[in-house]
Amino acid sequence: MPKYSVIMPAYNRALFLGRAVKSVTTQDCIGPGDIELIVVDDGSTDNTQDVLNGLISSEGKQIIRNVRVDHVGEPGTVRNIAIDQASGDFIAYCDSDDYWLPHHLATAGVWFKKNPGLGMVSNYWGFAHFWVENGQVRTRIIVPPHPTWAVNTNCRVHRKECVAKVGLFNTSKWGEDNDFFSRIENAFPCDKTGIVSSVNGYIQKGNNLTFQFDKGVRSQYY
Amino acid sequence: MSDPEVSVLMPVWNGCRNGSDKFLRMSIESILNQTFENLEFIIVNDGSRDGTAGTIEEYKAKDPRIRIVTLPQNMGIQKALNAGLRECRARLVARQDADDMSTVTRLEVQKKFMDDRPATAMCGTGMYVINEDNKLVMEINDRPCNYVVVREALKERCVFVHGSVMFRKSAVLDVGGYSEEERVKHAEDYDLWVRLAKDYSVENIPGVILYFHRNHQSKIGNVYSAKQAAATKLIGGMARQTLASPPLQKIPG
Repeated sequence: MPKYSVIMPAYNRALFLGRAVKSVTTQDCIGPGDIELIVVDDGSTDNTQDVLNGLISSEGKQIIRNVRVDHVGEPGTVRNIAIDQASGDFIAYCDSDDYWLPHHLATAGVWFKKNPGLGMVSNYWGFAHFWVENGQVRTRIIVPPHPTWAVNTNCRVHRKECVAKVGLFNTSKWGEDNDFFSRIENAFPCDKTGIVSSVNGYIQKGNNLTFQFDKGVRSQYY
Repeated sequence: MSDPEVSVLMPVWNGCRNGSDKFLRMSIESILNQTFENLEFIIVNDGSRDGTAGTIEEYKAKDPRIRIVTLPQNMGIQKALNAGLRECRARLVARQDADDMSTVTRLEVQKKFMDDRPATAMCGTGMYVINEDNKLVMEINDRPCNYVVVREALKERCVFVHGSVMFRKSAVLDVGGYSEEERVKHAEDYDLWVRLAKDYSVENIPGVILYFHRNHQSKIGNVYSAKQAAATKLIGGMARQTLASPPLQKIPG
């Protein structure tokens, strides 16, 4: 039984999926039997499936599970589908346009080992602009524009048993993550490591280098 | 406890900044939190006159893997490093700086790399630069990795992050340890890598396993930058002579 189940929803992410998936399968100091990655393809209309099948052959069938559903467009609902299938002791999240740094799971593992009573451990995240140049995804790390942006979905690692107590994600198109994780925080002792271990990107439109966060397409940002 | 397989060597001189030991604590905890646990942690207190002694004694009381070497007065980083090196019992020594943080997997990754490559005398890594709030500022991962390329590049510049390296103690002692000469002060690491690279394989691991506090290398960054630049230039000149002939390809003991 794997120790960590990693949940990755994907909708039309052919370009970004490879980097996200490899950042999970190449985590430092996590044995191959200790991790499963559940990719839920939310009815993509691009070649996300082709890319995913390529990754399954290159990274190992036993690690990656491909779950394809008809398009829902609700991040919480899509993550719930994966939670139902998760067999690990711990659940972690990596959105398909973002990536983890190699020490993400091991950092949470150290905190859970030091303090076995914790229900959830949260790392910090870094902020980047992503853009596409000649078909390649490029990244430029920048300091987060908002001082309180330190923890998000990609930072969270919680025990699977938390779900039995607090229930699943709600079906809102946004805010579903804060609601879910604050229910865990209210029900279990939790801790923050203060260590950056994932990078979140916001995709630039054209040549415009200014920060854009288009709420209208939030449902695609997972 | 069994003999430690890795000695972590950390010199510290006045490790508190603006009266706060926050960064010193983060640095110490980043070693005590390593996934690789069979280590000893040698902290050299180089004549600190602030709260450093109290902080490191507090951690020593909690974790028997810590040993403290207290120098009677401020001797400078070169002598402090050599004093600490003499206390290291393990064959592998990892450097840690008092205002950097290692990612929790650092020692496990580096030890495996060294175990897989018995002919390699030292490995370094890239680094994440973070600001005072632990926010990611940039990732520096562009250093050469392969020995042949590293050896050539050392003729021009220092291609190792000092606080990221793990080396075999026998090889470093074989080339005389850190130089205590005044003229290489502030670039004593570069000087050692050149002497080590002359006949031993030294490499960087692709990837990043160290955090670096950009705003807290102030001692080097502000006060000594001109001296450091001069020492670096001097060592570069020596490196072109030292590394002119092909390596003897010694195998570390």
